[in-house]
Amino acid sequence: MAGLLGAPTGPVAADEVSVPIELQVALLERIVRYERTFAAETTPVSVLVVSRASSAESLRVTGQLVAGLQHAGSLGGRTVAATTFSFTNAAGLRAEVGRTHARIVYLTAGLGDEVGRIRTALAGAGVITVAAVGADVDRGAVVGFELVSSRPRIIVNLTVARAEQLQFNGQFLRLARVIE
Amino acid sequence: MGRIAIAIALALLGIATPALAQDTAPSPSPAPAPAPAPSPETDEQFADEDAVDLEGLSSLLGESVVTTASRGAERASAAPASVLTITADDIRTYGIRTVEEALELLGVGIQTTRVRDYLQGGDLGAQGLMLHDVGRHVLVLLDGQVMNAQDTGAVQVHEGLGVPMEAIDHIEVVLGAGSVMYGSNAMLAVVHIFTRRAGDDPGIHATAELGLAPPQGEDGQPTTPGTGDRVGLRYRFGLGFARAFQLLGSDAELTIRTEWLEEISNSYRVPVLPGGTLQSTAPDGTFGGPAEHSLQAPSLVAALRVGDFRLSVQASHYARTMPLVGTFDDPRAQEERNFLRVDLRHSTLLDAHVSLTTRLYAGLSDWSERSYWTSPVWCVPGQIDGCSYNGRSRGRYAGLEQQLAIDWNLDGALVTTVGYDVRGRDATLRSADYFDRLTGAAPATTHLPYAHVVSALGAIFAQQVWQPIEWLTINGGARLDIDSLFGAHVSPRLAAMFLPVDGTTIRLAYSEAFRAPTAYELNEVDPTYRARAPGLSAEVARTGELEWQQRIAWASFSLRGFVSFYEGFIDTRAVTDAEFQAARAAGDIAPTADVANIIRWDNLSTLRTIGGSLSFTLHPTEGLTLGGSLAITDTRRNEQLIALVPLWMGNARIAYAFAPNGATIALATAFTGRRIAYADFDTLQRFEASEQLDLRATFTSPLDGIPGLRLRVAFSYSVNPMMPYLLEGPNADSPSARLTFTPTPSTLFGFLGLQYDLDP
Repeated sequence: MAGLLGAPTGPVAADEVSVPIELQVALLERIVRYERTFAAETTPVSVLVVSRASSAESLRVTGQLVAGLQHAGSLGGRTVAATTFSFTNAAGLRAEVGRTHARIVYLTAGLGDEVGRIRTALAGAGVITVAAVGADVDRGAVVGFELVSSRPRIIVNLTVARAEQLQFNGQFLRLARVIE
Repeated sequence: MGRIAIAIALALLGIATPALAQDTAPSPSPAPAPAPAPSPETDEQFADEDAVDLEGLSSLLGESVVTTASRGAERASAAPASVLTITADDIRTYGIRTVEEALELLGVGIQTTRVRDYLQGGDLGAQGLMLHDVGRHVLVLLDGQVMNAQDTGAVQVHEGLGVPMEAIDHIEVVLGAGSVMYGSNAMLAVVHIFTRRAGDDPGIHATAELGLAPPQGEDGQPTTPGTGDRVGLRYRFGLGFARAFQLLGSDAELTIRTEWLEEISNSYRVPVLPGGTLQSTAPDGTFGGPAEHSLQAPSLVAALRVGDFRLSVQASHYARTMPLVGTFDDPRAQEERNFLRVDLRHSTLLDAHVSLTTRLYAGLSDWSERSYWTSPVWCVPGQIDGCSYNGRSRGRYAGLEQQLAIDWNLDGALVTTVGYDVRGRDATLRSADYFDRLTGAAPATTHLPYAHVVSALGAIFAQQVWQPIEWLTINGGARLDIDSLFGAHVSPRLAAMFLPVDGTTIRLAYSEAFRAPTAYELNEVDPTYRARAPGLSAEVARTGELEWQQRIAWASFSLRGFVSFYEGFIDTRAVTDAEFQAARAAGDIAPTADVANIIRWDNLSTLRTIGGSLSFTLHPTEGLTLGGSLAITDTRRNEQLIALVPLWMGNARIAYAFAPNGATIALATAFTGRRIAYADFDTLQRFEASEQLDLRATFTSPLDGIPGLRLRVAFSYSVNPMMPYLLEGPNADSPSARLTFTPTPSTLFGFLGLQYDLDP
């Protein structure tokens, strides 16, 4: 992990940047350790990276995520395998989750208007939905990231987490912005 | 307890052993913002904490994401330069009123002075160098807009900056040379101010602040009000609005922040001095007594974002009387600065690998200064009753900047950035208008200087980031500036960042920077003493640095050393006979001027600085934060120490939050060692100014019963109230003149503020 240096990848305007993807991956590697079910499992974990073909930003984040996950090699101590999925509709995503046995669904950019439908479609699947864009956690993702005065912050939508039977460590939640 | 003991020991070290440390170092990484506590139900459900792994997560969350050093988002530990971040939370917690105070109390190796009454007041320095130059060697940016005036290069970070404090989200301070990305002025540091977005605090925001300062005696210590001694009043009102919405099918947001700041100062007594070089309207010709000033600084910052476009506007007015310039306590002596800056930005992705940012920008600046002089010595021939001095510079500029960034593999391991900046500038300069003090008449025989300068700047820059192996990143780049005012200059930078283990960064860097002579410097003329200085070239800085940063969950520190060589610094020298004759023939100097008294600017000084700094931030237990920095520098010109730069300086702070988003109590200090005082007259010897220590205690708290309302109370005290600027001292004309330093106007002050945030 020492090598994920996070070279400049965003546009010049600092107010346009969110948490760099390599940092999101580094954070996620630790976050999943604090979800009870995930932490108890030892099998390799499948991560489905969801992109939107019409959004260049989404394609960019998808590429960065795949590279970052490959570089990390594991999440929460479990070997990780990342696959990508070009989003067309929520039902198709649900089917893909079933096919790949994805444990984590990573939503890239450009999916904000679909997050609600995605949440509904994935209800009961027991997956951790992670949003690259912080605002998508308010819309129904379980975990996301935002910058507050230049510092990264984790957001956890506890309502969605509980609905998905996900149980996060209480001490961990004290480090996050919790949405209930 | 062990952590607390270590933390307190380090904090005490910071205060008690300043001589051990060194100058300029990077960013401590404060704790993540307080988060709402989870419900008791949640805590009870999960008692199986893994403290070690939480520490690792805390460490990651404590590191800033910065953008200034590379013009792109990156972790502070990966940046090719030392970057310090000061957050809005820091500003509130420590009772900060201006960016200048933020840099003084929370910065690392940044020098500020509260001088105002000393000709174009407001000096700013770093890297062991602070020149009496209105901040020309530091580049200040506001959301990417250059805040240094384009005609004079000057920038002030006190009330004259023109940015409402509540608009600030965070400040990035890049230490060392920054010209590789930003061109001129970025010699000692880049101070980049980022404003808050609608998502940060939507709704309506109101701020009211009232401060009081007691009168001061000649020793600078507070006294009681009495005849001629008055209490000072300072108040500030701020109003803001922020909202996100949909416009034309795109995400949009509007943020507006305005502020009105006014100060009617306390009186501060100045020792009564005989006339001579100082000016007086007193019947007995003396200078001194109770002085007071007034200040007004309204400002506005606004931004409208629609989709990929952002339109930003900054406007400000700053006016301050200068009771110690010219005739003593003359309320007509005043400095004014007005700014209007507009920036239209568009950011887009051309494809997944390529981002393009385009900026169209323009601005207006207007600086003027006026003072009155009773002695004809300071006036042009014929003004036997004295004169009024008026200096003025108006600048206009417009430009286009584009930047292309290519992330070749989308993994950040190979990123290329290229860009260009073209800028047109127009300056109208009246550097020294002298009018009769009583009649206001223009001089009959002396030509008053005037210049209208149109100039152009073109620059291209490129940067390559390469991560050949997991624990090494190399960042190399260069910028070529071609400026019609002086010629061309290339500013390279090469940095290597090693990450041997988690949380450890070793940075090795070499960089060059420059400062271009401004239209004002090239054309500044004063018929009483200064000849024009055509042909000035750029000042150049070459810096090598080595830094060790270490982060763990509850602490971070940085140890940094550097050596800098400065060449061609613009300084004054006596004119030659030929230059004197040419200036007189051109009418630049008065016909009666004596060659012995005429000076001009020239590229003269070569300086060398060796320095280093230690900075740290500790969070030994929940709610408690300690931090500090120590810097030592040795700066010499011809083997002589230079004025204004202390051997050691630093700051220390402690804050305790009683609950997340609850009440906080904080104490911040800044200290400076002895230094050679600055004088704008030839003293018979060099004089040292004493050590300085500033203390500030702040209490902030939400007010129960009224959601959104917060209280802030602060008290500030300067242990040594004298600033390192000489008002008077022994000189060739007056060998027995009394050594007199410029007083700090408000040695002691307190203020109470209320902030109300309404999010309907």
